[in-house]
Amino acid sequence: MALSNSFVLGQHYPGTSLVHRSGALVKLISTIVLMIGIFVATRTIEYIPIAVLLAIGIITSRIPLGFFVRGLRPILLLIVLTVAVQLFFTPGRVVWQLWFIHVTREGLGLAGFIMCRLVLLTLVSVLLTASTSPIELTDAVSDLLKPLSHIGVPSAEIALVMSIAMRFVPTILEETERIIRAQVSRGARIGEGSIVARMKSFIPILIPLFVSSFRRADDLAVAMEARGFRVGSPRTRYHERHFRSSDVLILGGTALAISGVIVWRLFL
Amino acid sequence: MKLSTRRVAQLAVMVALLIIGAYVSIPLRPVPITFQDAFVVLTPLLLGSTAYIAILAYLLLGLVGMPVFTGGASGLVALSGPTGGFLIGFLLTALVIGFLADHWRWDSWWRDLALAEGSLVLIYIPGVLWLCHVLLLQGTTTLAALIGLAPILALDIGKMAVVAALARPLRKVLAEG
Repeated sequence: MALSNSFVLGQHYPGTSLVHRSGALVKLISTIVLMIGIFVATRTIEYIPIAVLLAIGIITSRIPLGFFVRGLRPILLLIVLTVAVQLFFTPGRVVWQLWFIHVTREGLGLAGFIMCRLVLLTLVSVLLTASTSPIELTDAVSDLLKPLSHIGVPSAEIALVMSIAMRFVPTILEETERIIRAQVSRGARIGEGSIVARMKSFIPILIPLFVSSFRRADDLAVAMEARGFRVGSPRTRYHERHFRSSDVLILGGTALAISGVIVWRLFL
Repeated sequence: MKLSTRRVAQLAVMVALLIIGAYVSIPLRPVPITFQDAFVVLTPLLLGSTAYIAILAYLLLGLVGMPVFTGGASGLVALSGPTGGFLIGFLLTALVIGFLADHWRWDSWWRDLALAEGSLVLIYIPGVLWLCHVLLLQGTTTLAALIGLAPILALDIGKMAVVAALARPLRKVLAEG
């Protein structure tokens, strides 16, 4: 059983820099705007304003560069795959050829463009999660979803579900490992035999896992109600946040970068 | 269905299970399998029409950058990447199957099996369409990609039978409390 225990919540890098201090909602909005900007751009060169802003953000955040490099690792395969597809299958002027493989000038351009797009998209979201604590982030998501509550989407509850879920991941992961060990010690053969037998062998793990998890949920619900939680009633926050000068800086920078992209796209 | 505190807690636990299901890979030769899609389909079977809240929360966690998708991917990259269509298919499944699970009251393994296998259609159609769109697949390359997906689909059909077997006993556990 190779249970990958790599789910570290080391996404957040605490700090006191300007980027850390600005509001989560402001950072979330500017991240989304930048991501839209990254999708709107059609040439590699149009990424320059966003890349510059991102570089300033990364430097002022004082988060070690290794953190960002690590954030790129999950998409490495994606980058290699997409770049390969673009590189070898884009028709155009051939610049390099080996047997049936053609690399075209157009292919090189497209591959470079897509690579920049993926790297920028990732770095923007790494900067957001590294500089914002999960709690602040889910609160910001709830603020952002608030307009949807008019059409019946329970935005506050969605945010609550998000933060409780993050809290429960390590606990339930531990539980999973315990159940697997317990079942193996009782003689369960997991992942052996025919495909059908292997599929069936997961049932003795999944049933206790779900049962114990939902029992936890019941305990949690009792604890929540005992502390006065009611679905749909307004909640207050422990840390009230007010608009600060760092928020203005971030919003201003984002607006500048986005207008840069738009101007570049339309006029240059 | 109206939300209760208990249901909120259950949804949260379900999201945690979804994250673990996407994360834990079991070395089943030849390809390691994850339980991500199995847990996604189980969500509406257990929680009915409130299931979309769990899937939405899961997708939003990924969107803001938590590494909750298979392989630790996150952010808009995961949603816009080649397999992003499958993630949208998850939300579609939660909405449609959740609605059906609430309104089609036939307490049988066959109903769960029908809903589970049907949800594969809801996951695969947006998944494959988006895959072809992103990788700019056309004609023969599309066919090649579909053939490549066939073994995964076969495995998924098997997984859905396990899901259907789990759904009924687990619903009983949920109802007791």
